[in-house]
Amino acid sequence: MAEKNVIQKKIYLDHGATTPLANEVYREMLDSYQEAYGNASSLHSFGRDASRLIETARERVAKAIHAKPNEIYFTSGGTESNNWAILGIARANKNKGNHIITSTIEHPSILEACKQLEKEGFVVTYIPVDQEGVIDYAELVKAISSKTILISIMAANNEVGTIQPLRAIAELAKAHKICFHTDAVQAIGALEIDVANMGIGAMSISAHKINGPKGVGVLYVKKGIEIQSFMLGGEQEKGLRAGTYNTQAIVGMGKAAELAVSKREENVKTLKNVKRYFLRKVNEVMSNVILNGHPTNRLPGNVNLSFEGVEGESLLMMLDMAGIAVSTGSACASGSAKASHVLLAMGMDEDLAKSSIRFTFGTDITPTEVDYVVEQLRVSVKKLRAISPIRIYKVKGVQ
Amino acid sequence: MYSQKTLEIFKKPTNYGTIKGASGVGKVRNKETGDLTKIYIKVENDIIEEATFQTFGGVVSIAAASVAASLIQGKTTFTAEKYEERDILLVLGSVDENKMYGVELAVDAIIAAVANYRKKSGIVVTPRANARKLKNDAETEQEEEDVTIDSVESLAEKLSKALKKLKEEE
Ligand SMILES: Cc1ncc(COP(=O)(O)O)c(C=O)c1O
Repeated sequence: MAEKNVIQKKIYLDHGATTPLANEVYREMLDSYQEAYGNASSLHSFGRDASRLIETARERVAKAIHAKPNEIYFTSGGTESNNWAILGIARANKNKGNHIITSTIEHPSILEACKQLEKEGFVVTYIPVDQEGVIDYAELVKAISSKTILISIMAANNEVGTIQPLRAIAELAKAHKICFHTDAVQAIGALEIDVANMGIGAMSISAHKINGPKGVGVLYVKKGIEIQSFMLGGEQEKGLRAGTYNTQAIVGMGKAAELAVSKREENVKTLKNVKRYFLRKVNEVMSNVILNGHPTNRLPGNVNLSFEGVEGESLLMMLDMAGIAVSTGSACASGSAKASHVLLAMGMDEDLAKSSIRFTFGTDITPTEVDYVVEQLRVSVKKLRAISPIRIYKVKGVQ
Repeated sequence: MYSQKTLEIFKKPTNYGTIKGASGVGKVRNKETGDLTKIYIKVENDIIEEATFQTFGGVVSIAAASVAASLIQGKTTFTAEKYEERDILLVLGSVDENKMYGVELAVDAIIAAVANYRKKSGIVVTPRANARKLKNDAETEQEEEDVTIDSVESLAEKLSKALKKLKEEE
C-alpha cells in the first residue's frame, strides 16, 4: 500500500503551548458541573457546595507549592497572574520605591506589564542572560538599589526551557527585603518549588500547562505582601479579584496541581529519557543542528533546536503536513515571523534564531513515534535546505 | 491561514536552486522578518531562458518565490520586471495580510535580478521601462560569506557536550 493512503496518527509535541486535559481532572470537573452549579458566593446550600469545592482546590494548590490556602488567589490564567503580580505589587508599594527588576527573556505578559509601569513613572531594569539563557546574577546584584520594590524572574523559560537559579535569586531578594515574584507557569510540572522555604513573595501558575483546563490559574501571594486588587466589584478572593468564581475551572486547577506534584518524579524521568533518545537520533542522522538553551539545566520535556539554513515556520508547516505538531518560539508570538526575543537576548545570530523549533514532549510518546518524528525532520530539513540560499558548512551532528 | 494552492506549491516547489554563471542574481531581504529570497536568471537575447529561486523564509515566501521563478521563465526582462504582487496572487490565491511581505519579496527579487543582469551587461534602459521601486532591502552577493568553520563546529560541539552530560546524569 502506498504510504499516502495510511492515515498518520498525529503526534503532539507542543506541550509547552498547552497540554491535554488529564482524565482525572476531566472527571472531577464534569462531576462539579452537575453537582455544584451554584454561585460559590451564595449563602444557600447550592452556593456552599460550590464554595466547598473551591476551597478544596485552594488547599490542593497550596499543598503543591507549600503555601497556606489563604495565600492562593484564583485567576484566569498565567497571563492574568503575571499582569496582576507586576502591576499590583508595584502600584501597592509605590511609596517604598519605583524600581523593578526583571529579565530580557520573560513571557510577554511580564514584559508588557513592565512597559505599562514605565509609562506610570516606574523604572525597570531588564537583566540580560548568557548564551544558555541563564540570567546574569552579577548584573542582578548590581541592579538592586534602595528603590527596588520588586524582582520578577521566571522559574523556567517557555521557549528554551532554561531553569533559573531560583533559590539564589530568592535569597538575594530576601536579604534586601525586596518582594520576589516568579513566573512558574512552565516550571511547576517539573520542579519542586517550596515557596515558604525559598521565601518567594509571589508566584504565577497556569492550569493548562499541567494537564488542567485553559483559562484558569493561580497567583500565590505570600501573607504580608501588599498587592492592589485586580478586579473590582465583588468580595471574591478577599476583594482583590472580584467576579463570580469559575467553579469548574478552579476544580480542574486544583486537581491538575495535585497531579503535577504526585506524578512529577515519574514524568520527569520519562521525559528525560525521551529527550535523550530524541537527541541521540537527531545526532545520528542530521547535521548542523544546534541545541538552544542550557545543555542540562532545563525543563525535561523541552528540546529547542536550530536547524541551520532552514526557517522555522517552514519547517513547522512541513512537519504539520506529516502530522507532527511543534512550535517556533512561543505560541503567542508565532503569528509573527520575527525571530524569538529570547534567542536574540541569548546573543544568537538572527538567521539562526529564525531557524529554531521547539519540541515539547508529553510522557505518552513512544520510541517508534520519536523515530518517525526524526525521519520526518531529516526529510523536511533536507528539502528546505535544498531551497535555502543560506550557505552552510556541513558538520555532522556529533563528532 | 494558507490557501490550498500555497501549501501545494510550498510542499512541491519548482525551479529552486542556483544557476551556475547566472546572467543576474537578485537578493532581497525583508528587514522586519529576516526572510530572504534570491532569484537567479540566465538571459539570452533579453529572454530569460532559465530562472531559479532560493528562499530562507516562511511558507508564503517560498511558494511566492517558486511562482515568481516559473512566471518569468521564457519572458523578456521587460515583461519580467513588470510582474506585480497580484500576478503571484493569481496563482497562490489569498494570502494573509501579515504574510504579504513574502509575495513582495518574490516580486522584488525579480526586479533586483533583472537590474543586476542589466548592470552586469551594461544595458541602460529609459526610466519609463523601469519596474517599480523595491519594497525590501536588496543585498549584494558577497563572494565568500564570513562564516568560519570554527564557529559552526563550536555549535555542534555544544550539542555533543549536552548529550555527554545527559549520559553522565544517568
Ligand atoms: C512562561 C509563561 N508565562 C505565562 C504564560 C501565560 O499563561 P496563560 O496561557 O495561562 O495565560 C505562558 C503560556 O503561554 C508561559 O509559557
